[in-house]
Amino acid sequence: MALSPIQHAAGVVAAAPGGQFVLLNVEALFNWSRANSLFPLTFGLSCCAIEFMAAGMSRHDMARFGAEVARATPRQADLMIVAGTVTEKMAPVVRTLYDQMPDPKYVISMGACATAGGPFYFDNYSVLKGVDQVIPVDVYVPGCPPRPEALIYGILKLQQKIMREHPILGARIAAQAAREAAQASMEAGRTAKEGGQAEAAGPAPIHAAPEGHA
Amino acid sequence: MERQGLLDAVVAAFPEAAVDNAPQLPEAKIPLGSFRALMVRLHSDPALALDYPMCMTAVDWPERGAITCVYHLYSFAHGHKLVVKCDADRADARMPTVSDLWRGCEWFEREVFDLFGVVFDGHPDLRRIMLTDDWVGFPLRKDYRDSRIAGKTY
Amino acid sequence: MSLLNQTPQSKDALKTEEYWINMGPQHPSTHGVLRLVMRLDGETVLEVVPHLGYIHRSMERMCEWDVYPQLIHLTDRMDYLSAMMTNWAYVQAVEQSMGVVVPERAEYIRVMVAELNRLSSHAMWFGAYCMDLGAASAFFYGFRERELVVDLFETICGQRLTYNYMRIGGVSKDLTDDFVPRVREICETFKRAVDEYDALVTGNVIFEQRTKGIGVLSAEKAVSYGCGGPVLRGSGVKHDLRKDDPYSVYPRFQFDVPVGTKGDCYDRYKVRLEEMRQSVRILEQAIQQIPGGPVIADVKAVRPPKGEYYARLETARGDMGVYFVSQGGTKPYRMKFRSACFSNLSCMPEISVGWKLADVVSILGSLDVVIPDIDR
Repeated sequence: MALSPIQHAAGVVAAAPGGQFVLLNVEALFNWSRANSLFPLTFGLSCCAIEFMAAGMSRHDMARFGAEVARATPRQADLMIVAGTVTEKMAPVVRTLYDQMPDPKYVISMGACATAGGPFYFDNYSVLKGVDQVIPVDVYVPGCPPRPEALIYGILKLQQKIMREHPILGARIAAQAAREAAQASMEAGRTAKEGGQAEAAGPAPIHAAPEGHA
Repeated sequence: MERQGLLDAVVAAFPEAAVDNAPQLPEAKIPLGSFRALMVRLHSDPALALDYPMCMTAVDWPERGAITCVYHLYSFAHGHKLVVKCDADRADARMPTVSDLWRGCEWFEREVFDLFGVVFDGHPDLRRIMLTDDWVGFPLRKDYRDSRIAGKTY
Repeated sequence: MSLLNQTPQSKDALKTEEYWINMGPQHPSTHGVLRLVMRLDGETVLEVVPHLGYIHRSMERMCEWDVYPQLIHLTDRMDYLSAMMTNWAYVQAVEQSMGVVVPERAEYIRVMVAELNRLSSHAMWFGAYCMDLGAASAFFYGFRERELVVDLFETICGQRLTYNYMRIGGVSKDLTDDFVPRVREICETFKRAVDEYDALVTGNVIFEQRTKGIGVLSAEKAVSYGCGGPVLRGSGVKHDLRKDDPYSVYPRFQFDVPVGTKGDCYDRYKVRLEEMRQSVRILEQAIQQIPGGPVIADVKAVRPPKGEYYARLETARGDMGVYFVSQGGTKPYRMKFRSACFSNLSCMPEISVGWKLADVVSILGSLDVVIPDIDR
């Protein structure tokens, strides 16, 4: 897996004494700043949008968690809260908006409809059974509609998820994991082949006898 | 105008109408040939003056081979209501438009076209309103089949 | 010479072109997923083509596959800002078809929750409209009042938005003991709140310039398009279903029906503010008059007799109707929801022509549309 120049530089730093410590703290800084200053996209589709707005209002106040600056354009947003039902007609639009968002981007699927189709699952010809059929979702918030507190809990969960990310070392970790997985599967293939040959020699004479009987 | 008087006026002008002084709302069922003439009369006659489109929709009756278009009309001047029904042939569903008489019917007719497939002759902009333009089929017809539909069968 | 000082020497020197612009379906001011495709000449709108259906949830087909009581929750999700009233429209249609007599206490509860819902809906509309015009802080004021009503609804039915409170024959649960005192407080709060909204926004020069004379809808056009509610009344047609086609116990209450004169956005705004005051009046009378008794009639099986039925109700947005065809069974053969917003929005292409792009936002806000109600 090819690593970018930054990954190479990170590798050099990681190899130096104390380098891992520095990188993990830089990563923690990135994660902390991303998690605590999420810019949601104003993407209210139906009823959940009202509870999304209520979560941003003075009583429940999403601003405490840094997520109050809701941008209308996906180019300036990094959190798409899909609040409401996604229909067949709207699905390409959702995909386009997701693609227009710059990385790193996160998706919260708010409400039963966005999670799995909601009350519109059965007997329905036009509702998509969950927004995760068109875009990858990070956090699912159930409810119909979820209370504003539930949405804020979902945002906090997303913040926890973001804090666990590895924006710098991520590629190196993934490359390492891929190498190890390839290694493990090669080992498994080798042992399977050896074991299979031994097994093939065994049962044959046993099978011959019943046929003779029948 | 009270209900029986209203129905009598309709029958007097259009003897082919089948009227019914139903408990809820008076109904007049008109064959397709006289439909447009009746609607023009209902809208323009000052004694009737049915100027408000309360509702316009359709009902699919496959066993009769008809799609019944149902119009609920109200008069601000007189305060009376009338339900007009007209059967369109299910195999080739065409109806004359009334969107020039009641502007609200423009979108009602588009919805009936979208979901039932009834074509309204003379409609200024007959295209699908709820579904995508390339949708195949008319979902509110009783014989609509779609693999997207989950759960209880047809 | 700077560009500001230059003037075109002749008309041919300045070349203009019309262009098509797309607004939505994701847009902060479309109140949902509405797509408006507009043909503009500079900033002036020449044609508006609304594209609906982005939230079409095939509710009418779903209604053919569920029994009548199972459909009440679907009506919540149509016009969710006046969910109590859409619930009521549906159960009223079924009750009228079967001849169910709703207990008096249930009727009073229905009126009270409907008027409270109207208050919360108009408060939210006020906030959203002012935010569309740029006054974002009014949004917070509207929601502040809305939270009081929504808290109260939570005590009686457990939900903040999609109540599912009405049942065929009455309501699902009786009121709590603190309901009436809280309604009294809400009435007092809303009286102050509407005066506050008036003081903050109504006389504001910028607000008046953005709403007065904009999007004029004449009375004949409003009637022909089938508009209802504040859209119809703002155009000068004094028609309120609670008075002209009364249902439930509304004839026992004294309230006025505010009417506009010119049919512009400002008139529709004023009509809604005044309606909030009238709703408070109705609530105050209902608190005095509400009797005791059961809150639901004893309905054994919901099987409307074979036939076709239609019922209307005045929701916060206009004239909502429910038409259904019954074959005598437990499921409807056909269910049609005549949504108030569908007809209200149908007049928009005509009344937006000639105004500027920013005025389209003002007109759309003044029509107070909830898109899922249009698409169903």
